[in-house]
Amino acid sequence: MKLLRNLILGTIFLFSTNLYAADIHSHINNLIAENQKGWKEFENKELGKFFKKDGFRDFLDVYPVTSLTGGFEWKPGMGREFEGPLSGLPIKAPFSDYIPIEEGPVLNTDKTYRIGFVYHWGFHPWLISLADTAVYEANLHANVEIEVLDAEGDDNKMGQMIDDFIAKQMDAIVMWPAREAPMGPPVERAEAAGIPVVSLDRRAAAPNISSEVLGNFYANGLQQGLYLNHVANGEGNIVMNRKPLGSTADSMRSGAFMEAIGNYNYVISESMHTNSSRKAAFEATQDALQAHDDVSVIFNTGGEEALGALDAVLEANRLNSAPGGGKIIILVNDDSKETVNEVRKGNMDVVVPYTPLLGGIGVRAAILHIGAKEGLNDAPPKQIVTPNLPMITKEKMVIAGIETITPDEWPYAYGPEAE
Amino acid sequence: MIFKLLNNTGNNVNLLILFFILCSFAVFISPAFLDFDNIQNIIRTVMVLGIIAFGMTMVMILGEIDLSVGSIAAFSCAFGGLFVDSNSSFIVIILTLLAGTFCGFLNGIGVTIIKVPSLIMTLGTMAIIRNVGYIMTKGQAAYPTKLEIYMASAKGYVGIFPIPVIIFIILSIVCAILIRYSTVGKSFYVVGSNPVASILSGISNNSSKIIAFTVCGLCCSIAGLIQSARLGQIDPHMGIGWELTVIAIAVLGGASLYGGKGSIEGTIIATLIIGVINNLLNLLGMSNHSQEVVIAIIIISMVLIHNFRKKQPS
Amino acid sequence: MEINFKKLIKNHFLLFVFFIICLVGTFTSEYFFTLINIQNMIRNMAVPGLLALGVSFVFLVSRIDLSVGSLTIFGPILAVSSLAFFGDIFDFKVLVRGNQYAHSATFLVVVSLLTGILVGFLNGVGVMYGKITSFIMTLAMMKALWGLNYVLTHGHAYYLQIPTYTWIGTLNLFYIPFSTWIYVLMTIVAGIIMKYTLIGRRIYSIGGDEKTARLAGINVTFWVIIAFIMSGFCASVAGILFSSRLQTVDAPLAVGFELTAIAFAVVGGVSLTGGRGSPYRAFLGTIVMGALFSLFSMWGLNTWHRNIVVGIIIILVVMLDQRKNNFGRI
Repeated sequence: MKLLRNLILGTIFLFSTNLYAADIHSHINNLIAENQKGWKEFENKELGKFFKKDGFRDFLDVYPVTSLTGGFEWKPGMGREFEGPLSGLPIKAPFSDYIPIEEGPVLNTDKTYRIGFVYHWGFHPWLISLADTAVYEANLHANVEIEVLDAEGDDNKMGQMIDDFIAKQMDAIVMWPAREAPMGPPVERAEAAGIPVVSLDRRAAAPNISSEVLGNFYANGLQQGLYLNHVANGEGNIVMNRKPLGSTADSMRSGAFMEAIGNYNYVISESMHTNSSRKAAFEATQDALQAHDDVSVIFNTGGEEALGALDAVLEANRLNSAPGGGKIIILVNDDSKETVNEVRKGNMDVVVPYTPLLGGIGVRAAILHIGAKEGLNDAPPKQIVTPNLPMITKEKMVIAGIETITPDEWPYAYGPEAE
Repeated sequence: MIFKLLNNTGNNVNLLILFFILCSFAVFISPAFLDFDNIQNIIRTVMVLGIIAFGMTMVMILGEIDLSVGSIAAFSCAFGGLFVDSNSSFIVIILTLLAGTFCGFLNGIGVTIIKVPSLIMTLGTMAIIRNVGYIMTKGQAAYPTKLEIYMASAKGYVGIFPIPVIIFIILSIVCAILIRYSTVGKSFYVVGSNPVASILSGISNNSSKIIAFTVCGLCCSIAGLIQSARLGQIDPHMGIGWELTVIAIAVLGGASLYGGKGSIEGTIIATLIIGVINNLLNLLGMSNHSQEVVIAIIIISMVLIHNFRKKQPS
Repeated sequence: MEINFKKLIKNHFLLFVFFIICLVGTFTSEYFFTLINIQNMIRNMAVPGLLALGVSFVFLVSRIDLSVGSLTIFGPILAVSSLAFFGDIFDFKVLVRGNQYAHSATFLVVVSLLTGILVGFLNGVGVMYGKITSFIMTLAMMKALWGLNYVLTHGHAYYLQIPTYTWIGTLNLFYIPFSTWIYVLMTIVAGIIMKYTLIGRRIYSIGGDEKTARLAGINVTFWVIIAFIMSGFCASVAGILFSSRLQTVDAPLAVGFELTAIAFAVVGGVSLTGGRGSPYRAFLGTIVMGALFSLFSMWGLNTWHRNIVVGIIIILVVMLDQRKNNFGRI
């Protein structure tokens, strides 16, 4: 059965029109397909039970794994450099040519188009970079105005902000939902009022949403797992630092990770939800290290968590305390300048990029939706996946056919400079 | 007056007993509890709130309350953090402490001269101070990792003793002496329990309160500084929710919201108790959320026991 | 008949402030005085308004209630999770795929309300019989409920998308959102209770001077517990309105609602030391702050600036109120 599936996939791959240039994207998509398994198919039964308990399958099944919109081909090096309008930080945005719109006034040049942008936690480096790219894109077009609101982690407030956007008759809404469930009704109301909504990164539970711009959650968890299998000989005691239970970010990454490692001899020592907080991850990791003296892997679903965990490891002098005297393997996603630097220093082992520089895509999709309503262009697809990005390791390696990138070769890291 | 001090001692004895019971329990559950590393960790983690609790205790002895402590910590560190690029630990540290002291002073003025009840004043400053910090920093964290002395406040050692622990011990001793033996400190109790009498005996209620709030602000900035150094990140978002936990610690330590009661010693022991409980629950593998429930039950129980032993008529 | 305008304005100062804010909004934003925005504004007032109403009862007896925030969502969470628990034992379906609640809406409402009453009762008992300061008692309750919310939901959200429940959050009667109807009705009922019934008289006596009230033979314990129960009940009603609008209950929601409730009540003029205030005052505080929030939204004011202005206003309003009434110390 599996052989047949692989044959079919291989054939499709061979004949796929994206074969040549979207190599890394399709290749990772194929790896995703290869590794997909339900909890019963895990050879490691304990891991299977854990997988079932947290309900990952529900998220993984509905996540789109498709090719890029418009036959776009992404290669490292593409993208535009600019200064973030909100944070003042230097940014190189990799996807500024994805679903492109020309600079200058858009659509009906006599009209001013107002876009409402709502997200949470503008103090978080990932999130402010998201907003930066959105605002930058809006600024490229003289007749587009963007209003940026921060709901500070309160889903109810975000819902009210969306209702306010409806009352103010905004032309489109671009949003970053912290959790899927509570954002459903407000988005549905907006769509019912004729306002196209585009979500970024995480998803909202709204069937009528105009577009979703989706990052590489699947590729993140998967590559972290593939890397681990490559270097750890299928054995290890894992401590997990995760994002909030029930969020796309957590379920996708942790779930994909579990799928990749599910047939090997790993043990999950701790699974902790440290919710994007460096401090929480620091304290939780510290406690985990205290409780288990045989930790050999720390899996992190976010950059801030990983940095907190690393600080805890260093403070406790446990960097090389894995059984056998080896280094604790630290798996990270979120390519902030800090985490990429830690790879360069040898503290973190792999960083799988999850770039926040998606805001621009969202704004462009929103503009195109407005245009579609006005009959000026075709609407963009509902699910806009972003190119799968390869993992970053200190030395170049080839893992499951993926050629990794070294820190110096990666210009897209976001956030403030690290030392 | 002496009666009151004795009363505090009674409470403190209760607390010490509880503390030793908890520690014994902890050792029984996990022998690793007594590891030097573990004890260090406990103190490091809980001292941040503990330092603020010293300031809060002073404020509460005077019968007031300060809800803005988390915001002052965040703002003062954020303010200092704006100058990280100067590469001078001194500048950053001094500015941080000054900012915190100033905020505390503002609270004091509001409560005394403008006569706004402290619950409201600090509820308002809680929002104002924090958001001013966000605006100043554009919500961005600063990274003091290159400032050696700054980082040393959390990561440095003197011999085998971590510097933060030393700071905590020194601050405890200083605050305890201040409250117990200085004129200013002793007047806190008088003002808190009997404001009319204190005025008649020539103590200025206003200056006592201003001093208490100012010291509290200073404590917040010190605590925030150590927290930032520990994480290598000055996060303007820090401190959310600290106020209620700190008040709980102070009350556990014997302070009363009506004023006139409380002691630094009690607060110190209460801080350690909370630290041990947190550590114990973590060692038991209890999730953060279950821990909240347990801590709530413990706080209630402690207060109930305290009341039972005192049998105070209402 | 002479209308003393100065006195009118002084007594109902906040009502005038409310109208002034609305006027400013109408002139500075083309979207303020639209049906949909007015609906948003008055709907948004319902939940914090109810919490402020509940909290003001407790203020009137010189206590405080910090547990209302966590209690708001605890009601529906307890309802759903307890039913799911029994569903597992007795084999009937409560939750379908993806944590969707698929059972009775009545059960949800009834259990939420009962929970509010129960928690209020526990708060009152702790304060009066356990002699625990209300700040500590309700703080501990808040923490306990917060933790329980996570434990009962295992960190997942429950979707409450059954039409028999969601209508509460979406229905408009004569263009006014149902939530607002409930809020206003409860405020009016509360006002009548406080002004014309025994409950009101007792509560005001206790708030005015507790020692004297006790000496006069009033059962202070009983009435304070009643005040807490009323606070818990208001919080649970707020919880129903809240969760039906969001169509979800989730543990991390409703954080900080208690401080907002306190701010609204205090801005309206409910005194923290007891004895001064009324449901009408809590209502005034709510509409003023609600209008202000709506104004800020229409202006597109940055969240940070908005929070600063709110903080300043809270201090200013109390300060001005102080001047008028010469508060004693807390």
